[in-house]
Amino acid sequence: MNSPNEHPQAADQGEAHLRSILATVPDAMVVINEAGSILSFSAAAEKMFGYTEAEVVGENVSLLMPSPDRERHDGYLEHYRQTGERKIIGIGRVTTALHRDGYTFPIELSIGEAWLGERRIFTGFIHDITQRQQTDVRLRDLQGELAHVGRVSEMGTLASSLAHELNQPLTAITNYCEAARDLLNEAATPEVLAMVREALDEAAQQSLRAGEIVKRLREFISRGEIERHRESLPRLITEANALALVGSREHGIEVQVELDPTADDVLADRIQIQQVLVNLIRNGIDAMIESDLRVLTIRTESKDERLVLVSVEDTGSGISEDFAAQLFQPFVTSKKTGMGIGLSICRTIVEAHGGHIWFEPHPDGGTIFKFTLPKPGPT
Amino acid sequence: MAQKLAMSWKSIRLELARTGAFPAGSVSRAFLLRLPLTDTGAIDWDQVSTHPSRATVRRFWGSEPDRRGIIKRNDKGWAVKESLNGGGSMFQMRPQPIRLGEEVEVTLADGDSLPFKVARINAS
Repeated sequence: MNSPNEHPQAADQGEAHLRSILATVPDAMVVINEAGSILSFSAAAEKMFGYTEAEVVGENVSLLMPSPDRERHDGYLEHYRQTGERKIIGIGRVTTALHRDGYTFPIELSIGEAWLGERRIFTGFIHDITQRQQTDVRLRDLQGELAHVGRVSEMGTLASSLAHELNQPLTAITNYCEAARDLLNEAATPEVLAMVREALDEAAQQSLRAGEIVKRLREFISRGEIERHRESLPRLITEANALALVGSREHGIEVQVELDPTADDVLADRIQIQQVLVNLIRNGIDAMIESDLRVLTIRTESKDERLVLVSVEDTGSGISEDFAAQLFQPFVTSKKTGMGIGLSICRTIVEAHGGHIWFEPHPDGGTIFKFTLPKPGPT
Repeated sequence: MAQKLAMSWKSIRLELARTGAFPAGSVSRAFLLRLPLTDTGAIDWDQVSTHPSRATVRRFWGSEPDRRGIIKRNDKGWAVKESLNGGGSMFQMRPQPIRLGEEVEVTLADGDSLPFKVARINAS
């Protein structure tokens, strides 16, 4: 049986051992209470965020988050306290964090929950994925682009059969319209007018059929069937931001996100719209690398009762007129690497969602890419 | 020459210094200014007038959303407006050098004058 004097020593040794482990864990560790106040901040967290532990203890953890997460975090904690519904605790999430110097960087966040007596605490382990995932993300992108090119090549083999399919309704439309024109050269009797009307009805039917063929073609190009669900636009943007910022930390990009609270929900295929956002954000970052001002601004705006407008604005040197005309065509690029099909994929995806994508020059230089997405219908 | 001009633009972080409500100051109540500074910590207003939309401020205030503004010179020193063409005032500063580690006085929109520490100055 152990003597009572051995327990305090064992407890001290245990705590010292735990502290030494925590001090060497490469991931940043931040412990907060139920109100979101920082209780402890590891050495790795100090290095990651640019604050000392003494400076942040007692501050709200939202200090480490960019908008919109910063102003929503207290609400997330309150929601969890009231409902116990876990959206990130024990699940993990890729998101973005805010450095003291004002730039955002992508992180992988894991959160655990514990009770110290009656006091609940949350421990966040934060992994800066800027470097580690750079190769993985780029590889995934390349695989995706190659698969898309593969489908476009497949399109080449399907082109002849589709041309044949389209040729039929187009020929029929021509024939019916010519017949209607020839009939109108005769006297406009009720019988003649009835025949003209019938010819034009048939022409209209054939044009609808041609439209269906084109629609099937576009769905094929956009990587198969789109699955659209009600999605949170701020969440899509945060996650796309995190993926797009991988590999960009040394460029010190300042990301500003300005959200219209009436444009929170969209009807979208989450993966595909994230792909559009990642593409536009990466293009914006690439455009600014040589600029002395590197600010990327992402805005959402409710356009009307049906549509949301998303814009991605950079402070680069703008797009030359030579490229502007062909920017959304495949295999057109000003970059040294890449196949130049990113924007053509973006256009296919956005248009498959019923939206439009375009760009405008920024009055101060730089470029603003804009696209629209549908809102969910009334539930 | 252009590179030298670009290098004078700085990213300056002001953090709330010791006040009655915050005896240890507060790093979560801060302004991030983008301004061209001379070697003595004075604002180079010639450069600001050449690139007026570049002289910006971001305000971080606890858990509130970011606010952004444009810096404009006035007869009391300089002020931060929420947009280039007017808009609400965010704060006012009288002419004073901006040097790392020193304090500056900022008059907020509600009229309170608070001390802020110049916590960081980086190339912008």
